Amino acid sequence: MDKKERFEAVRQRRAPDFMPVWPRVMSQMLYSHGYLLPDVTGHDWYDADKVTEAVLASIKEVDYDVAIPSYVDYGFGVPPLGGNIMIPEKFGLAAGTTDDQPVKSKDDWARVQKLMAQYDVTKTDPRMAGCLEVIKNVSAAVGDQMPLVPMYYVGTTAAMFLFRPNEAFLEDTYDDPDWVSEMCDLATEWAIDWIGAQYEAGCNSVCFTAETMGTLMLSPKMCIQFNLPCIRKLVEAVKKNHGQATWLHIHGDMTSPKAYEYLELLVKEAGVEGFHFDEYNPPDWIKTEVIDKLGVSACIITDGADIVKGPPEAIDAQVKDQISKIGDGLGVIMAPSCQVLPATPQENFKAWVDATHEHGKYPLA
Amino acid sequence: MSDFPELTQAVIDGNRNKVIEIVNAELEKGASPQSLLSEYMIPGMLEVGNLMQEGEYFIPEVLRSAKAMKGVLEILEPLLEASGGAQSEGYIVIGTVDGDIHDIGKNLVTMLLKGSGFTVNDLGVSVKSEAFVEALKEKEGALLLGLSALITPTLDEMPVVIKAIEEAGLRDRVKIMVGGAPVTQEFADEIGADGTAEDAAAAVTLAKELLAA
Repeated sequence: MDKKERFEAVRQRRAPDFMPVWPRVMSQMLYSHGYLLPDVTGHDWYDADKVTEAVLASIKEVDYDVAIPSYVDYGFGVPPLGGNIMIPEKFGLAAGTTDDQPVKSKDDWARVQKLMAQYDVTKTDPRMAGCLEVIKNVSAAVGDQMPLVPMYYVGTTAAMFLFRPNEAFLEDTYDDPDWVSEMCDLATEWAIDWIGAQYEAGCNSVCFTAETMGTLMLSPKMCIQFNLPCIRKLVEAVKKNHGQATWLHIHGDMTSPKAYEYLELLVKEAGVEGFHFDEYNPPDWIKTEVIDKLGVSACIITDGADIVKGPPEAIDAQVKDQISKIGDGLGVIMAPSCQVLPATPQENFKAWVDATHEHGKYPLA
Repeated sequence: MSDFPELTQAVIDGNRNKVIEIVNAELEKGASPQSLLSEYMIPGMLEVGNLMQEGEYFIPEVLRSAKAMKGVLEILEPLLEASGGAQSEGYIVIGTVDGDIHDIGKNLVTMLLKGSGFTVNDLGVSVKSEAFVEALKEKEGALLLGLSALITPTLDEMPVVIKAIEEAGLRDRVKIMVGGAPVTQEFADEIGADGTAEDAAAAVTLAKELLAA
């Protein structure tokens, strides 16, 4: 099987030759190639050549099976709306937003709405234009061999990153919920355009969208209120416009009854095809309660801290243990948690990928 | 029907206006600012921490309660100062270590600690070891230090801070708690910290335990 066939088998819950591996995200591939974030991006610039070099080196050296074919961050879109972003000088998962966000009070909202109406996701923010350039380069180099997934946020996460300071936005959820819904809706429309641009640039597989507040920050009730309609809209648009399904990255423990109810709605009402959780959700629960009961595919998650710490022998044992807990393993892809952070030793990450490929041979033992 | 007094319940509900209204009314009737704080409001924030640990409260709910506390503390603090100062659960210096600019977790811990009666000196993000030492030197007696990190490589900065505190001769009177997504109990033990907690609410419990030890 090639990488596309392997991931396709997971999506259809058939046996691949061996378990595929989901990539590390954001700046991790840059650090492993010797770059710090200020080497590749700033407030209004993005070095597409350096990022292309790092992405392709990461794919080649680590040999994972699905790729996010560029460096994407939380700050995309923000400077042209009047906000500031922060580029970590030393360590940092990504360039991020600051308290100096475009919508400091509701008085700013009309101005920002006008800017959003004029926004061209391919041109307005030079950082996003650079990101698309990388996707074109990576697609030309390896797009025939492996799944390349577009990536951006949805709902409350997208709205907070684009518009409002974190704490203010979280307070808005109580103080002005209708406005929160309006911000989520507009941010999701923007996300749909941005994901569309990534497909145009060469992405060729499922859409990978992220709701990183999840039940880590919001109650399942609020997730259903604010995020479910946005995710449904994004899933439908991706299917209609690009013929692709959507996978959702969500933070938080989803095993409680209330969180599980949200999960069910994400599948049955929003049409999410696959999930990428975090380390709060154990592999046996993901297999039985998510993949088998809800009829979707999902990543099982290795705690990134274990990959960071190593050594390779311990990583191998951890992967073997995880795979021993997932029965037939159909519908499963292995993924690192978000805690696989910058400067993770390359040999540890490679050991994790190799261990998954080795212990994940189908049929599973 | 709530089991809590009305003021405590208003803190739990994050109802800032109601908290201020009740406090003002009670002050007019001659209530002691210290008793309003320690008998009604701090128990409210402790219950908020419990609800968070039970998965009933999430960040917006905690923020609302913390903001309600903050609003009323602006009224009470001058009165408490005038009557000799508030009784504090303890003094804690807190910050995200050098090289790390993430602050949501640290801010949440800070809010819960303040709401639970601690005096918190929040040094912010990317704080150098010398700044932690200087802040601790400014206070006498037993102190707490909270070190936060989200990014794995910056974990290495935590033992650097601990060493700086030892070299400054402060370690005997400073209890050190470390926290953040990549921090484990094993790591805390390894670097010689006094403890770590799974979440913000547990950090308050740990702070109390460390100062009582």
